[in-house]
Amino acid sequence: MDKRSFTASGPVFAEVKDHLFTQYSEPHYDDSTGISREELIKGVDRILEEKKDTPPIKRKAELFSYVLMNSRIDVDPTDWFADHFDRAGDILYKLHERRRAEAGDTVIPGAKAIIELGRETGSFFAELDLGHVSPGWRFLLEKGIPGIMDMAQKKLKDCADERSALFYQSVITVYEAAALFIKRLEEQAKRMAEKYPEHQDRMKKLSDCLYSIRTGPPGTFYEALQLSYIFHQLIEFEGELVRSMGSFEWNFGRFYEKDLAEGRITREDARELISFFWMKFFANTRGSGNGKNFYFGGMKDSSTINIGPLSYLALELFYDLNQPDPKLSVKLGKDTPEEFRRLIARCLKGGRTNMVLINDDETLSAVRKRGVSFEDSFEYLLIGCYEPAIEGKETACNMCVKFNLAKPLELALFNGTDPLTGKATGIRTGTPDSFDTFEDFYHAYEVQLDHQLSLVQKAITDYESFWDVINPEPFISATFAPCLEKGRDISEYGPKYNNTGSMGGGLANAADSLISIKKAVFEEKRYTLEELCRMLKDDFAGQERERLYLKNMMPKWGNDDFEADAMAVRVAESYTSRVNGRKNGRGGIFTASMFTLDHCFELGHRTGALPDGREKGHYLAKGIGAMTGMDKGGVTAQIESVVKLDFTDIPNGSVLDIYLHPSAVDGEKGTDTLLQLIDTYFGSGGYGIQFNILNADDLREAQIHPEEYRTLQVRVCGWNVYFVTLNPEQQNHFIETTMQLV
Amino acid sequence: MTGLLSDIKRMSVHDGPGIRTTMFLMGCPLRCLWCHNPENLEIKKVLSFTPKLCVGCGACLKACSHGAHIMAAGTHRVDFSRCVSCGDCVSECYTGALRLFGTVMEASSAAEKLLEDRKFYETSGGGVTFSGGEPLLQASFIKEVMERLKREGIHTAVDTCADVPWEAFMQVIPFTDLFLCDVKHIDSERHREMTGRGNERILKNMRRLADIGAVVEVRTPVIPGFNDDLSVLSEIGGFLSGLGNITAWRILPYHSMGKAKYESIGMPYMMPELEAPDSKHMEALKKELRNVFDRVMLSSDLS
Repeated sequence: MDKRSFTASGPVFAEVKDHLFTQYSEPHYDDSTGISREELIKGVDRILEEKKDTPPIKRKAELFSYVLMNSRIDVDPTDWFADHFDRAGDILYKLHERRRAEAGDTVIPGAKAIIELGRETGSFFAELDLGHVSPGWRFLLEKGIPGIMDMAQKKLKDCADERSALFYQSVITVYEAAALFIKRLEEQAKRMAEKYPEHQDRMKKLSDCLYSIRTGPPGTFYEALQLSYIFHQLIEFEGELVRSMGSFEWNFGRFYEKDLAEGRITREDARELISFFWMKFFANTRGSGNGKNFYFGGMKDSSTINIGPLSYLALELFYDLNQPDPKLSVKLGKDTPEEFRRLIARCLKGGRTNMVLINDDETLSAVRKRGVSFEDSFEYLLIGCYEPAIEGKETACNMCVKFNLAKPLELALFNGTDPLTGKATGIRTGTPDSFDTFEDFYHAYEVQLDHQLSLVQKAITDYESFWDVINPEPFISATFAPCLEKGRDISEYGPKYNNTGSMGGGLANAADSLISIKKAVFEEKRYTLEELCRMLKDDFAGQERERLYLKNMMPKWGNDDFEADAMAVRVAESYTSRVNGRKNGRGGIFTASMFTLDHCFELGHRTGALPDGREKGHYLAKGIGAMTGMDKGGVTAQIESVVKLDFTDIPNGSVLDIYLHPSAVDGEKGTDTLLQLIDTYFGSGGYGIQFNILNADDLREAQIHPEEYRTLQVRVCGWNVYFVTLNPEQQNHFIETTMQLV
Repeated sequence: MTGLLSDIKRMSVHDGPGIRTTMFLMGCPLRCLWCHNPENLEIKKVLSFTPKLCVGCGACLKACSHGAHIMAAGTHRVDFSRCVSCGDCVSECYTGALRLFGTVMEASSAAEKLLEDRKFYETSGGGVTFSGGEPLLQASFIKEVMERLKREGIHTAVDTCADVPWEAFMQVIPFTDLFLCDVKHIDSERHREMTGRGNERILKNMRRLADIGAVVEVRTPVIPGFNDDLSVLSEIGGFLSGLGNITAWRILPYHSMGKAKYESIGMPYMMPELEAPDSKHMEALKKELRNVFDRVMLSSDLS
């Protein structure tokens, strides 16, 4: 066999890169391969009508199968991977949305009303988050499609209860459909080989690969990549986003090393294949979406480091490709090799900041504390952005609740009424003149906090009990060994761990506002609480000087200030103790996270003026650190503040956003500096950290001349985008943040 | 005892090894035209005004009993000749536009402040740097601070122009791990033209530091038209190679970032507009200068 299998003939990646970049934005299907989209949609509607009384999971399986059998497909003769089919406008996802709306309208109107009021008042954004689930990648790669089908068939034979039988039958239906779909791609690849003789070699290898993965578990690196990507596409078609692609090393390393040892591929070949593979993800978001992550680093068990030759190759390529997608989650622990760490630092310094660094040791403690077994703990991956969940064993549903920590403060100030909408959404905790001490006021804050959290937790719990009606998912469920074992879908709590995430945002705004009240009202007696409320209600109109006093003269979280830090720690505890361990609707618990993502904008728009000097409608703090622009003590002071939090009580994740001027990490010394900052943060018990290394002047230039800065990446929250694709508010946020860096 | 300082900056990475905190002390014997810390030249408090932060609230006018603040046509101006640096206006300014450089601090509280980032020093091999101004003008004060830091095992560096009496060095030598010394020109007359003083005492102090085997890193700001040609720099390199105790020689490109500071403290900026040497030029100089002195480095090279 030719040793250079994937670089021997045909166009190389660099030649077809631009063409492949349009594969999802301008899809084309071969009309001879299936029925038109109109007919496909008609067919789906027909099944929905005919199978009205069929159990939802079975009906879902039939719909899935119908589309995969009948839709038009496409194989690009220049691509190494095949996956394209007409998803009929993501028809199953839309169906899932429809079912969710129906549940809210009919069976749980109370829950729906709570969620709507939460959104209107900016108290919380909540939804039944069925995504934020990672398939059991390693289970899939080990068993392959036929292996999973075999298991389902055996279990079906021995199973006595009807619910399990339904589940196994549905799994068999969708896996048969997947195998047949892959066969259709395989045949199309053969046709392409004939039609395009210049791509014959590539299409021949592709059709062989497709044959292998439908008849057995993957045996080569190429097959493992191909199977993973098809699953990514089919799971998303089934109705939910794939939120983690798993560990690049653990999933694919063994295949790569075996291929190398047995002379099937070269290092260059592997580089080429990964380039095509990763392009699939990039072509999906095109640098303006939230992206898909692979994780690197970490441990396989208490003594085995999850880093091998493939990790080094992939990180080198990640640098060279310089794409915002896929993004990386990097687990760094005390045993992570220095060479690996320096590769990470090189990426960050070179503007490849699309990664979050996770303190492996702290995260292992945090997930164990919330009930994950020692053995399972090593298998956590980062769902979405920074949220740890156990691969193939946990539905973490990390983003069900996006909670505004500043809203209970407004409710406490205005006696239970939201000042912007006038809605009486809180508890009557007393008029401003009724608080004699700061402790009285803090108690009111906690009462409001508890009330809002209880409301949203109740609403989510109600929705959760209808998940099996809203979106049964036999296809992804069968990659979860516990689902297959128990005969239960992920929507029927089949996984081992069934938890619900609750994100707390705006910690800085809540803490800074509380400290302002404590000092300016109760200690300095600069004004009464009533007077302060009036200023806030008027959005500081005619009171700019007082606004600046509150903004600049009061202590702020994130500056290593004892008082402000103590307040933030207190707020965090008030929040996490009302989240962690509370029962959800799926036999699991709520788990707390603290970050904001881009909800800092939308939640901020619905929040009035605050005692921290923030004006009405302005965005809230991003991440777990200081309010934007208020980290005046610099990076080290901010880190010293944030490590005062107990991250094992924030087991659904958090992130500290660090902004550095390029000169701070310049040269060889800069590489050391970057790693030393991370080491100090992690050594003191920090959790997740991510970087923007930017210069405000460059960003201003990019606003004026976007065409010259097309590839400038910025880290928005758990993902990177091209700066020029952001709206002006978001662009200015970055400029404001980087302005004070020297 | 107390010292007069203008600032304490955490996360400083260009003033010695690792991650450091730099304390800026006030007062300097030299008047380098390009100085980018002009607020530190005198041992006295200095008012600074940044117009872009001013919201025109007028609180400073009321607070000032010397008529140093003027509001004309909605624009706030400072008459620095009337300012006595009392700071009355600064405590009423909530915008950050007015700032008073010059804090009197006890040595013990200064040391506490400097220890805040000790975790970072330990991880990075960093520590504390005394800079300015010229820190050795307040040698007794920094000696007291350093004694405390050394008891805690913190690495210390003194960033000095070296134009101070040898006695000042003698006070801090037992507590200093590293001296960062500026050598700007070998020709004393040229030195006087651009810095206000000849270089005799500087060179003499450098030889004395060599004699006692102090660890010294030398820095040379590369100023276009003054010392940026190879022959001038080579002379410095030649002098340094004769000393034997120089661990590194960093050549740092001139930049005009200090200019705005002059305006904010009401001082004229006498340095002519110059183009900063670019990184290519600096790399080329470094390469050439290796022939005279082998440990030439740029700002962010590891020593």
